[in-house]
Amino acid sequence: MKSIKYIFTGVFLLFLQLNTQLFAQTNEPELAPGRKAAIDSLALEKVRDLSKYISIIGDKETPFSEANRVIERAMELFAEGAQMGVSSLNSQEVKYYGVRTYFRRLMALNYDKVKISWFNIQYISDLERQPDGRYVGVITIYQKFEGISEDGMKYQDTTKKDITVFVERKQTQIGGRLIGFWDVLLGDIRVSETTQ
Amino acid sequence: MKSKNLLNNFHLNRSIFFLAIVIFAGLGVSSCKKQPSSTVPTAEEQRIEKAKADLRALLNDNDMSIEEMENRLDAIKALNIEDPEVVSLIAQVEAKIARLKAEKLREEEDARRRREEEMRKQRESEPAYKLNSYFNRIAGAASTDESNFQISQALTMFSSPEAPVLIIIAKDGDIVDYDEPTTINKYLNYLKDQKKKADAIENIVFDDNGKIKELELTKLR
Repeated sequence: MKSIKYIFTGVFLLFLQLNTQLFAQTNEPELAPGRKAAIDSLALEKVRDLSKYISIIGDKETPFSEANRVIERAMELFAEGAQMGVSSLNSQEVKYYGVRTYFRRLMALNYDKVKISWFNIQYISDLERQPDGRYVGVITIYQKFEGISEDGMKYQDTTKKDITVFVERKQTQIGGRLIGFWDVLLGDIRVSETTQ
Repeated sequence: MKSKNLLNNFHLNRSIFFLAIVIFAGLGVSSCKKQPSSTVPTAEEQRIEKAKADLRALLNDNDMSIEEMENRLDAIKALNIEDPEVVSLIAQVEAKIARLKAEKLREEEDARRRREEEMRKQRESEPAYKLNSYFNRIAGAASTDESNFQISQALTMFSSPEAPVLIIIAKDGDIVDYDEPTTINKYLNYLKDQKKKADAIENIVFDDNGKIKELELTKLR
């Protein structure tokens, strides 16, 4: 009797999900190629913006107040609860921190000079529309980290990271007009490999 | 004998007298015949004199247009007069025309420069131009202090640092897609941080005090 109840619940949930998917698909027309290209490009731009913010936050030349301001701007790029993976050549372990904690740690790194740059920023999984209407994709980046300590010791690594990107169309009212905009949010940033 | 000599002398003197009269009369006749040729000029002489007069008029006239002057000069040159004075006058008129042309060209160039300068001043006084200049100065500032100063200056153009900034990313018929709306304060700081070229200005909405209350940018240009 109990198993029949579970099967019934399962079938009901499956039906509900299918129904939701159908509803989402029928109510949201496919994006024209031009519009899709625009949101692809917008998401890439947000990742590049993050790259610049990270280099500013990590740079020891950046004044404290400026770094804090930039952290707030960088935080706006992330979805609630997003995490950042951190790796090191000295350890097999990849640690995950909430992005704010990651930025604070980055700012406080015990190096005299820090240089962080991102390169080869590209999609490894194109933005695909989900049943809920959001677009989800994965962008990969390579991060080159260089840290020079006070005694001149240099640490350097290159990390490949995968960033989940969520893009959602929203509406807001500005100056009496209804504005349709694309909200791009970055999700977890996962480390996929670390090399020297 | 003496009376005979006197008579002979008298005859001689009379002959000389008549001869002198005849010569004088002959001279008089000949001078009378030549006179008409110097007072009534030939057609060629008249042509030359007219050309000289016309050329002098061209030299003295300061109101005639360059085109008219050139036309008249061309007409005179077409006569192919080889009189040295005419040739000299033609050269003087040509020099005058060349000088007037150079002056006209300089005046036109000056006028063009003045127009461009006025347009530049007008453009620079336009809010879009001023704002774009601030965008460039903020993104290209050599220091944080410099970019912060430029931001504070740019913000004086706005009704509030919170004035909304909309950025168009795509257009498809009536559908306009925007990036997430931001504020001018955030956008200016974004330019400072990212050091990249600002999006093009699409539209500016002013309040009653002439301050910008809404800014629309576009990535489509």
